Amino acid sequence: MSVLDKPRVYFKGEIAWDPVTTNNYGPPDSGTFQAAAAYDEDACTPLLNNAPFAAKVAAFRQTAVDEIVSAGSWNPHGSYRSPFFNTAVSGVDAGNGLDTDDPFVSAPVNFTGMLIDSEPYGAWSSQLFFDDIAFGIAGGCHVSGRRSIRLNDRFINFNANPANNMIAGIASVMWQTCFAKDDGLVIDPHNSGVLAALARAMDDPAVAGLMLRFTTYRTVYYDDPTLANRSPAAAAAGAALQAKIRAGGFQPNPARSLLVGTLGLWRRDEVPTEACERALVSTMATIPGFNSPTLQTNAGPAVGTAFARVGAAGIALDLSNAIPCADRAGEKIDIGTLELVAADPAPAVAITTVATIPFSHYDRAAYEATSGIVDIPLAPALAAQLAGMDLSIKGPDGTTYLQEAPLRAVPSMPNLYANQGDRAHVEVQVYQRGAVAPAGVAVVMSDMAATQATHLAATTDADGRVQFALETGTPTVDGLVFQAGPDPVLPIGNAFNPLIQTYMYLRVLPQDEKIAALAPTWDNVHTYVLSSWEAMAPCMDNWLRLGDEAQVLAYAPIIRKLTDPANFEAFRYMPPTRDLTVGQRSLLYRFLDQGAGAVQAGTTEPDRVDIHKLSRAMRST
Amino acid sequence: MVMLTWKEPQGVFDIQRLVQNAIDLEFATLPPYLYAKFTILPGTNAAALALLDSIIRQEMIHMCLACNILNAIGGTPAVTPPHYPGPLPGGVAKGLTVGLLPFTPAAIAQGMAIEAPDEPIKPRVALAIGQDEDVSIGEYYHRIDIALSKLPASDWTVGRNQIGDAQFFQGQIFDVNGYADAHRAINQIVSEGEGTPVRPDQPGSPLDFQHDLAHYYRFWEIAQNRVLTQADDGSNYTWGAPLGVDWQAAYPAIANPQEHEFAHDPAPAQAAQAACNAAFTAMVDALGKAFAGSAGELGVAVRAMFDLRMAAMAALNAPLADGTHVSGPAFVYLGGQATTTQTEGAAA
Repeated sequence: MSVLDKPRVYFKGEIAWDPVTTNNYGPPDSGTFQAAAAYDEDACTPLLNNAPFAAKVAAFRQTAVDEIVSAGSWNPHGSYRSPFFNTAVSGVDAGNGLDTDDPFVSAPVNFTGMLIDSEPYGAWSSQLFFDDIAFGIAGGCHVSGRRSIRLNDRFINFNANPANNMIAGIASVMWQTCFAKDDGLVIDPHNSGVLAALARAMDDPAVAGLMLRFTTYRTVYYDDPTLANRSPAAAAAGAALQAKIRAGGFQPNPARSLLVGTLGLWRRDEVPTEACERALVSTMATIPGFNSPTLQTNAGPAVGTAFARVGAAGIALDLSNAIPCADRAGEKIDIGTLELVAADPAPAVAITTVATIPFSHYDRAAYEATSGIVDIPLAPALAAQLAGMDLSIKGPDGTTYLQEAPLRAVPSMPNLYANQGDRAHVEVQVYQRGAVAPAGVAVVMSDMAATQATHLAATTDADGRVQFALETGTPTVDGLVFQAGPDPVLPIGNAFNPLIQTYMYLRVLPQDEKIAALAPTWDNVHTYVLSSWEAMAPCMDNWLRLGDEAQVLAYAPIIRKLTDPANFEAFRYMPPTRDLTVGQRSLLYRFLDQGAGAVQAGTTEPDRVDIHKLSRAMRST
Repeated sequence: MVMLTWKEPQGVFDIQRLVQNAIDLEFATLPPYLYAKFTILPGTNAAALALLDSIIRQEMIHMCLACNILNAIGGTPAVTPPHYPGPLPGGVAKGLTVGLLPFTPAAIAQGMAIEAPDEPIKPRVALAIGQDEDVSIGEYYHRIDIALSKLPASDWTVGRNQIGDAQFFQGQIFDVNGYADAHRAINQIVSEGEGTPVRPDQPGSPLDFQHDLAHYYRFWEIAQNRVLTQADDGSNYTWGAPLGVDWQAAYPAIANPQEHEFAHDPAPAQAAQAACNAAFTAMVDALGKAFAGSAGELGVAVRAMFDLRMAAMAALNAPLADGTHVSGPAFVYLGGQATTTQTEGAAA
């Protein structure tokens, strides 16, 4: 099941993060920032649309640059792009253990996504919109595929590396997507044994395609791994970026993370969006010798949630996002020899030590070699016995760092965009110790930030699923938490923790009927549609100056294509923030149509030509 | 194959001159490759576009790496736009004449000619001082490598005007602070560009399907309209799946616009060319400052590069006086006459 099944392809490398940080602000009255806010999250509305414009755009950009140092807006010229680099296949396992001699090893892994938060102020809703990914080069040992779903981050651990205390450098996070075998997936094995094995596995009706999972960690900002929050060096780096931006040009300041990942099988009973094997959930226990971890940043390290698959021959543990780092370089904390324990569910007390895991199996070298996956052989009888027991991982002093949550409710869409008034629902797949749950399991959905005990409840059907209708009557950005079983602990009395609970974000875009009803003048289009992106994303200047009516009209066909709702999942969709409302689109398109009409009537731009027609005519002469 | 004149260096200043020649050469390949790329009709020839894009990106990176080498040994890189059609800088007289050609088989054949490998690479023997020899680009770099290896440590300066990967091309550009870095840079340039001998374990050889093919073979794939494909035993290669190259799906662009007299063309075509030249000039000027160590100028150059792209789109949609042709950017350097990178008129 999943990447914990075999065959597997391991890879490692780095990823650059180049998000625009200007939409990370709260409103001016939130106290921290002085810049005009990009969004009112309560109403899911760009706040910039409340004031006069050319000056407002300039002021927003200026303030964003001013706040590089004072408020940590580390990348006002971000391009959203997030490419892998220095990333290659590091090893494979076709079923007989780690193999670094397969011809596929060292093949490059090429990927570029657009990093977008569905809830920009927060830290738990990042997504990578992308079109495809390629392992290896065309003509050689090669895998490429179109995504079944955008990548979503999950299980973010803000206690993964307290030593790397620069912005989100303390965090690690897991990403996952899948590639359907019947939708453009290409596997060219040539002389690679592991690719031949993956290709053969596609003949299995239970296999839906390939699953990609990776963990990013040890993030570095300003290209300086020594920086720390509020340090003079960090301030100097920010000031240098300010100076560059003020001097002109395009001045992105991408961060970069290390990554390890695995490409493996995607089975039909697995949701593509996040790990759904047996979940060994973080207890947020204190590691001896370190401060206590909390949900606050700069606290002590925490062992992050891990996943396990028990097969006939052994157990595979995904510790890729689990063991925290001891230093900025990424060395793992030596917690000692860990003990994998199985216990009958309460109230029974039978406890079995399944295996021990010495540090050499989870240290940095092991982590990078097998992307954090640890395979432990088991006697077949023990493997069968574990099917009904709860797993946990303990330290040498008996501290339980990870405890299995036997029931997990996983939403089908981690970040859902809807238009106000749309009929929307979320399907939730429930798993019991990594297998599809039976009928009759209780599931509740509650608001992440609710202060009252309001929730929706349902029970699973025969396929272990429930559906919840989603409220879209009011524009908003909402976090929704899902809990399966009889004893939900949220919404009140306990803090939400992405390492522990499953969740989704719902972003409801306003209809903006009033904007749709506006006259399609340039002033209205700029004020109510384009100025927000123009202010927030100076990178757009590279392609099109959104404050220039002539340019906007000249590129009308491209703008239409890139803002087409049918292209919402595409890498190049505009705006990258995915916050174009129905009303805004209507106004924009009427303006573009009007411009096109003017062109046809000869009132503007009489020399525009059908270049395709011109090309054919020229070639035929 | 492009042949360059190699004159055995007598000291660090001679090596600086040889590296500057390499920089000139890397830069000179960009306008022809960009012209071919720009003239592909939008939404067509995706595979060819991707291959050209990958080559262009790597030529930019190679130029940056060569500048890093030159800066590390005390030189100051110059960015000198050549004239097209014309010989490549440092090229042997009566050698290849390189032009700005639209996306056609001729443009791709030209790319292959520029990048043609010297296979096997000639033995690296030292020449007598003052002796000239005509060598391939790959051999030229290898000889620079040997010359650099002989420089004393005192000829290297750590951190001098280096272009790193903090902003652009992560993982592909790196500081050159000594010979080891320079050697790594040259290996990258040669393996990605001209390529290395035909061996499965050589990055950049057509039998190395673990890494991107060298530029020559990527041009060859476009020319053949096929994917160069590994034989299953790894010992050879064949022509695989089609790439979907459609030579007809290109703008009807003239060749060598530097020789065209735009004064007789409609105003939009003239305005678009003016915008192209202004953006190109701004880019060249900013690159010169960036390689001289001016912080932020690389970002200025990149912004100008985007302006050039937008201006090129406008130019390719502005018919010339004959009503049947258009022109891509002429890549004319205005020599300080350009004062703006604005693209007003680019959308005309």
